[in-house]
Amino acid sequence: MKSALPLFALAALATTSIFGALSAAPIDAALPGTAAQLSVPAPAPAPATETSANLLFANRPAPAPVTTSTAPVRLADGHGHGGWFFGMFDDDDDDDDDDDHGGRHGHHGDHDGRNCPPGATNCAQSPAAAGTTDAPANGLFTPGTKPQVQSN
Amino acid sequence: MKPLYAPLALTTALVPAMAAATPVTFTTQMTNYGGDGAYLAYYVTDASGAYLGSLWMAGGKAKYYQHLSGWYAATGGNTAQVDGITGASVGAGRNLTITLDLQDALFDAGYVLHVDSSVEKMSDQPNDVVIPLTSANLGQKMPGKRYVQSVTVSK
Amino acid sequence: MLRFFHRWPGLLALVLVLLLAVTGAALSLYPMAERLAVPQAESNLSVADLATRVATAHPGIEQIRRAPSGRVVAWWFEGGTPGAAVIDPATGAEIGSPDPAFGLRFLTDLHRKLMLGDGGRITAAVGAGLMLLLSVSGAFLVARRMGGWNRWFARARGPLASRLHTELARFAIGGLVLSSVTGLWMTASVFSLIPDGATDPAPESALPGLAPLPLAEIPLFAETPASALKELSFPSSDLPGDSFKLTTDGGAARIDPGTGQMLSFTTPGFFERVTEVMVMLHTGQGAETLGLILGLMALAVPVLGWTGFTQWRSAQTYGSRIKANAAPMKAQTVILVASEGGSTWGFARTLHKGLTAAGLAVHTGALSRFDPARFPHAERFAILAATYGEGEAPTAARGVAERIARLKTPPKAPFAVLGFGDRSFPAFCGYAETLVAAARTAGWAEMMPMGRVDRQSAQDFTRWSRDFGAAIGVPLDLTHLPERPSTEALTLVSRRDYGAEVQAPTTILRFALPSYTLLHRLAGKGFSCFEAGDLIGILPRGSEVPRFYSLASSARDGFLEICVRRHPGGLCSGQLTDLAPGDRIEGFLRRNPGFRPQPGRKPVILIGAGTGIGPLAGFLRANRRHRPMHLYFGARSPQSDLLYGEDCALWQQSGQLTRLTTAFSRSEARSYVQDALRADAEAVAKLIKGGAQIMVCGGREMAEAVRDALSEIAARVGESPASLKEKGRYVEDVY
Repeated sequence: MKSALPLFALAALATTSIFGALSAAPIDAALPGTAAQLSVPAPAPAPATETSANLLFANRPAPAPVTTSTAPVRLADGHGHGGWFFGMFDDDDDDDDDDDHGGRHGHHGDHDGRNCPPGATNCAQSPAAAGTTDAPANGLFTPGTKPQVQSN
Repeated sequence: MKPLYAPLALTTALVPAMAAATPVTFTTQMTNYGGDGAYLAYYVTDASGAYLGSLWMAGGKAKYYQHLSGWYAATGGNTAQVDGITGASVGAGRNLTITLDLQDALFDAGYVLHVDSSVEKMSDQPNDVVIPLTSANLGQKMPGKRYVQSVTVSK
Repeated sequence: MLRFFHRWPGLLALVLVLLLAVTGAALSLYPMAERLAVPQAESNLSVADLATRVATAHPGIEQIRRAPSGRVVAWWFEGGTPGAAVIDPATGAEIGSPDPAFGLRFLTDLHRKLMLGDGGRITAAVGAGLMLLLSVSGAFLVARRMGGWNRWFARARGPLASRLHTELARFAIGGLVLSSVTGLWMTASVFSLIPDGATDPAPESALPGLAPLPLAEIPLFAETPASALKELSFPSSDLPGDSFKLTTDGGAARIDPGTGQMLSFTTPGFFERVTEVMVMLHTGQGAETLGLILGLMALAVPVLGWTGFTQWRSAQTYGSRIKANAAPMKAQTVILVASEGGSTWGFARTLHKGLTAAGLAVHTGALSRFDPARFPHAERFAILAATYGEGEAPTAARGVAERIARLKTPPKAPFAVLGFGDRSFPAFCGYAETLVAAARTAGWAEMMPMGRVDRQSAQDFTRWSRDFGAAIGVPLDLTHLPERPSTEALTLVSRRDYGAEVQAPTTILRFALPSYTLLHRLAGKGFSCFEAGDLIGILPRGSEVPRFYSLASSARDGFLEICVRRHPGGLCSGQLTDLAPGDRIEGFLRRNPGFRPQPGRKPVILIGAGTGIGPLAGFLRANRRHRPMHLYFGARSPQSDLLYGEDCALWQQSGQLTRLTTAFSRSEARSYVQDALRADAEAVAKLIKGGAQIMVCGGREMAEAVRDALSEIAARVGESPASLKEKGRYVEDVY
């Protein structure tokens, strides 16, 4: 059974490392909202040693969420995210804004197979190289012309 | 994504006057920063910083575009913005010359050229070079901050 | 089929996989070195503390990054020039250049893309895929060999190369699978085949006109521990409305520098997290100890490559492949083979074919891998055993008899042994007898009395097959047609004749080597790769039975040399000694790994008489490192049959031969080589005490006389030929 030891050691180390990596505290908070709120001085910072899972406002009442952004808004809820994949639970939340995707499990980014910033599309696909297609019609280029490039 | 609509406005503004177009050459000299090839994004904004469009992307892997943080924030990483104007990344100490057929109306109208740069395992440098697109700046060597030593725009 | 999937990717990918493994092992050292070299921050340090320290020293700060090792690097732009440094998080002081460690970029480039572009990346990924294929097919082969998945970790048996291959594979397989899977994932990620792009918090403008808050007053900075920091980008003073961007293990956020409020944030997606874990597991960045272990496991790959290659080549050479071989788990009849040269495998194939044709599920395998637990459905075992030297086990089956004798529970199925040998030797089928005795000791039931085949006699074999068939109730009448080994034509280039005057006509024949392509050389085909002491089998015209001669040269010498004494009426020796330069003869190579000088610098005592000097002369010729070698050579007359006399003088001058002692039986002294040893007893004993290896080559009578003389001499230093033999320090090539 001596031969099994390296495999056990490896499995133990890899598991520890994976758990260690996934136990990071998420940046996860309700957005501070309106200009009126913003003109109010920032609340006093919590002690620097605060390291609970919901790091940011864990011991503060969460401000009301606002909808100025299309970013997925999540409340400091009790899902116990500290220590596992956050994305695993995301779409199961009742307060999720993707009601039309009812029973679908997965992450927000899965909807179009990409992981783009909110509202953006086409950000994971590498662009077409120069010469293989026309320059974009952004009004800067003379239509139909090809760029020339030289590197030394 | 408000900035995305700006190019359309520019198009309609420029197309009627499109008679005037000239090849413009952008000559970029890189510093010897001692790292892998740099990704460079060349894009134009108006004087207020609103994005108009991209001129060139050096570096072909979309995965790394988020490190060109000014360009990425402006475009949301939409690679359609650089379709057909994308080439290879540029090594340390190398020289890159791009010649583009651009609308004359781009010059002396308050528009600004930005070059964002990024190198693996090194810092991201948004606005490594910022050049107001004026006739006075044509042919001038404009110094860069970190990875770009200089960019010269000439007609 | 499984073997096919294990072997071909293995051979084709050897170079690629080796490169990836070696560079990977070297790269595994960097993360640990970096962690040990950088000062670690105090555990309660916050991002605000760290950023304040850096910003105080460098007001033009643009970006701070922290690597999983704890290494903090800051970039700034001040007075019109950019700057960067590694920062001590405890003080904010600069402690060095952020340039990558020596060799890191080169090794990374080589490992990741073979210094090429995307083509190199894809090639490296193919290498990782092949590694994965090898690991998985290898795991199945280990399971099959050990007799099931539940015995996967049982003790490995068999010859050294195959045992080492199994042991190392079991040691390294976890790391190799992990490294190749994570490597493939990373390549897929680079080519955007996985939706793992990092999300960027939505761009939001900061409130204009506010003075920047002190860093310590920004809540997110004060609350985030520095150990969670990945990157902090400072707002550019040239861009009104620009914000901080903080990236931690848990996501990214934009922060208004004037109000300290978070403007937008994002948390990593599922695939982004997976990719982060994959990168950590592959590179060891953030898991340094794991990285070192993976590196160590990767180092097993070169040895696995070599032992795997050796096995493949020996299977090619000995032709131990069996058609329609039943799985060990299902076999009713098990044929076990202990072969020295490979001819016993030929008989095993005939038996296998005959029994399979009779409708039995037959498995044929090497005796060296014998383990009763592998054959749960066996109804009978047939053991075909050759004998090596004087009743010893063939090289490939050493130790098996001892293992059988120690079996606590012998197999329920009975066994039959068929021995192969040469009746002219005293211990005819000696090893087969040893096996029967061992089986009896263990209480293993015998099916029938032991059979014997003399000099590959087809009649002996047919007779035994009838008896075996009767014993198992299957009519068998097998005719063994010896497989003619594939031979190559060798052309004689020169000959030197000796001994005619003393009635011992002997010739040293030197042949040119056939030319080989690089691929043939790599695969060890034919005579492309051999050592002095290996054997050449020669098929004389008019006979199907090969005669073997020891080689007096190695492939590196560029020629093939043998010593042949012409026997009156000898078919093969007659044909050989009649050859004139330009004539050709058909021959094939048979390895003889048991008769080689042990590696190292310890002295070697070479003892031979007559044509027995052949391989010994080969060892001397190959002794370019001037290891102490003492030659005792017996001949008839110094004027007539002192083979290699001129060469020995030259080798002595060059230091390849330390001392030459001769004995001549037809001189006045009438001395034999054993007499020369006795006369030199003190020196020989001293050499033995000093760890010398003894190599004897020649006729049987001479070998016996030498053994007697040496047991007297070795006794002086508490050794015996037997004790030396156990340590591989007494080897004989006797004919």
